[in-house]
Amino acid sequence: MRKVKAIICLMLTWFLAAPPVGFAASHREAPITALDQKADITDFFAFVSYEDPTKVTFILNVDPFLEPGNGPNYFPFDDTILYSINIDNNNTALPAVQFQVQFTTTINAPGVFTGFVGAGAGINAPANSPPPVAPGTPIIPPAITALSGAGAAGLSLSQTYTVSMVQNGVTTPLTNSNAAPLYAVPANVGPRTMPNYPALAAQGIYTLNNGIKIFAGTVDDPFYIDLGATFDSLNFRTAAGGGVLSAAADANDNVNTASDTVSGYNVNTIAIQVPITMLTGTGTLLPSTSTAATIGAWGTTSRPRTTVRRAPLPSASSGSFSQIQRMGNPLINELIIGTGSKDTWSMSQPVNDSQFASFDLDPLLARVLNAIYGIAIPTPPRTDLLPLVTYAPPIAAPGTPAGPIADMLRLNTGVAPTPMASRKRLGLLAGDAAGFPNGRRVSDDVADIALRAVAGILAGAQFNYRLGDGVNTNDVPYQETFPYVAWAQSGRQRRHIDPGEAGCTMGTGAACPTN
Amino acid sequence: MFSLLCAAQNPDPRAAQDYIEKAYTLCQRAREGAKPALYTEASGALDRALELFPGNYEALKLRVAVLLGLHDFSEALRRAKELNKKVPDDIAVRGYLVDAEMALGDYEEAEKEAQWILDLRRGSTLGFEKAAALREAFGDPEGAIEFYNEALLRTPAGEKAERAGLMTRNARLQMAAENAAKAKELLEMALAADPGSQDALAGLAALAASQGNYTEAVGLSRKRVEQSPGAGNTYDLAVMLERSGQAAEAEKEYLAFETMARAEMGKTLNSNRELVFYYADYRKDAAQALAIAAKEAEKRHDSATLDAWAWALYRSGKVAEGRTQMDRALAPGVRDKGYLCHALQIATTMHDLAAIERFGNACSDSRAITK
Repeated sequence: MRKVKAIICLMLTWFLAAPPVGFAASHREAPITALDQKADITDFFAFVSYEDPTKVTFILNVDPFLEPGNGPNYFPFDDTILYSINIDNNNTALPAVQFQVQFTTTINAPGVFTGFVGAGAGINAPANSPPPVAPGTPIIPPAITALSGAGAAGLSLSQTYTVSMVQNGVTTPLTNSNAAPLYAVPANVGPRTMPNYPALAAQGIYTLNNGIKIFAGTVDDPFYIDLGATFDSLNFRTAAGGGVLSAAADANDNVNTASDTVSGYNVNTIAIQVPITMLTGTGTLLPSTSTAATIGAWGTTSRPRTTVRRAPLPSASSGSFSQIQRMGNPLINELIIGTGSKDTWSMSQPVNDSQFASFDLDPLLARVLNAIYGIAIPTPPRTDLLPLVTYAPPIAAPGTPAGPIADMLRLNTGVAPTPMASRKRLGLLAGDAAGFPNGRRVSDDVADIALRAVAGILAGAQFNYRLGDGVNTNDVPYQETFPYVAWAQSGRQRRHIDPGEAGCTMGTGAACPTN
Repeated sequence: MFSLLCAAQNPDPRAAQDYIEKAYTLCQRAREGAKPALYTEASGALDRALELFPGNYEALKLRVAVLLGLHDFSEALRRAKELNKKVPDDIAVRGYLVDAEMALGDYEEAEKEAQWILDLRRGSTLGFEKAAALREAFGDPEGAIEFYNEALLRTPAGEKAERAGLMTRNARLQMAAENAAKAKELLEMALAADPGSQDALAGLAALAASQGNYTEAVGLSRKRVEQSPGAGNTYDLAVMLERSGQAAEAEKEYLAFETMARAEMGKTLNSNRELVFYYADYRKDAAQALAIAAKEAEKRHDSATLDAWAWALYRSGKVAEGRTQMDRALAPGVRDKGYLCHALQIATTMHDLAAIERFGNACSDSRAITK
């Protein structure tokens, strides 16, 4: 017991010098999701679609650090999880619109030892094939070029999914416009099995009723961060300014001065593009100055729950699912909520977030930054962080009802998307009005933004420090069209760009610094 | 700030930890051996630990367990709520909340907390155990058995007292469902796992009595008294002796019980419920029974307390009031045959034919089952 006590004290001491858990994105940030990887939400994005400003794209990423070569079963979605994207459009922090996704796994070839197999036009048994398999008998199916039908014989395992919209308590199934099943895109096994993976993955983009687009499958993890340095008690690389970036490094959104720990890893994604008219409370497109233009959004994962009472006795639960995790802003549970409350936070509804207000008003991370870097931080209570958890300018138009304190991504649907050439990794902090914390795009550097927000940048220019980890961009380019994330990295060809390795920026340029 | 908390607030952390460990051991012994005096001793150890290390979370948690052991449910609830606010992810504290709320009769809140445990730690032993107790309180013995079995499957073989406890609770439900063989099997397994289990011995005694084997029931009850000579055990022995026809021996034990029980009447850990039935049924002193029952009902409104109050009211001739309290006792859905037997007798006096039909033959063997 003494040993345990000593360890606890040591751990508490450590917390003084480091954020309690995951940083910015949410890989394994709470005890319950550390034990339930399939339900672990890594990131949640919501932004006005680049190529169609009449639509908003939501992306829910789950199941972190998928090593692309990790066969033979790779990374199916969990059939027992209810994946949900929730939208508040009346400033109540309650879901006015929900999109719910559930998967069904089919084993197409139960005798085959791997989930995905294929090569060329197929390989048959050779002339010296021992009996009873006759020469010429098909052994390896043709390469996988389709999600179903011809070209899909090598999909020993496949997943279909359903998507529903819930509004005013009414659940409406959303079906493929051609009535065909919706298939999840499998992992990118490698060039022999899947010779044209981009073409295969693109088949997983479906147009549903009402102009909604959806995609589900394994993709490149769009998040980027020097996770190793972060967890080493904020031991950022000297080459990256040791946590305070040089002006030049900070200004260059396209060059990394530290290694991206998430490089070469995949993640499972559910992306859905929805007409704004289906999202706003008025059912119309609105200018950014409208008090009804800003929506709140968050993702959740839920599993069937065990209830105290059995059916048909009255149930204690409001539904048959128990929420495992939620994510709105990419920093709240990770950087603000204490470890002893993280699971309760994960399982609570945003509308009830006032119970966690004590964490928001004096975040420990701010004091950590103050202690490590000696920087001045705002004096608590930290009301400067309110725009992240209420409807407030500069995201929402002046006059927008603030609503309760609730962790949701706020997105002003009236703000036009920023063209790629003008997009800033620091989003709103760099004057890019369409970036985090006005929603969140896949390219937004939420690690650096979060650090700066916690350090007090929203409280005034005197708290503006160039805090950052030195990772300014992803290891592979994003797409400019739906679903915006890069396709899954190849199991055979993937590369993790580690400290000391050449090509720190997208595999090119200078080596990643070791120290 | 946490490093300061660890180092500066505690001039002698080792000594504090020693007291916490001592308190923990005392609590375990108190629970396993049904020796409530050890809870008081544990409380003293915790006082010392908290002097040495104010605010120590482990000590504060153990304090709640001690309060529950001493049946100070209101104070346990208050302190558990404080801890729950600090660390809402701690399911052990939520378990304490369930225990306190159930004991005080707030089944709705208890259910919410138990559901939190089931949601927070899916498949946890604690979640199944607390939910099983609630299912029992809600009149779903089959569902309770299911969850006790789930909890047992998840409890390591080395945790013998915990396993024995789960098997004993399961056995009581089996007994109520008239699965005597299964009940016996479970109780014997419980005793094998934890030879000192008072609850298992009590269960075996009740089972023997329910089968008319009073000699064995008396023997087992006497063994309990020898192991732990408290008021509750003495009362059970007296009842068995009375039912076995040993009136003189029963009278002797009843008197011993009365002396012990009256001495602890004002304490939180008492035998007031037994005292109510003793006065109401054995001494035919309904006024005494009612006074004690009414006082208990001021403090808690769980089904057991309300049942005792209803019975005391009935025995005092206040049949309608007794019926009101009995309805409250049964409102959560509990199907304990002892309570139903009381309800049947009240309904019979009131010529309530519908209720008589509803409670059926509940009085066939009430005393053996009521606990």
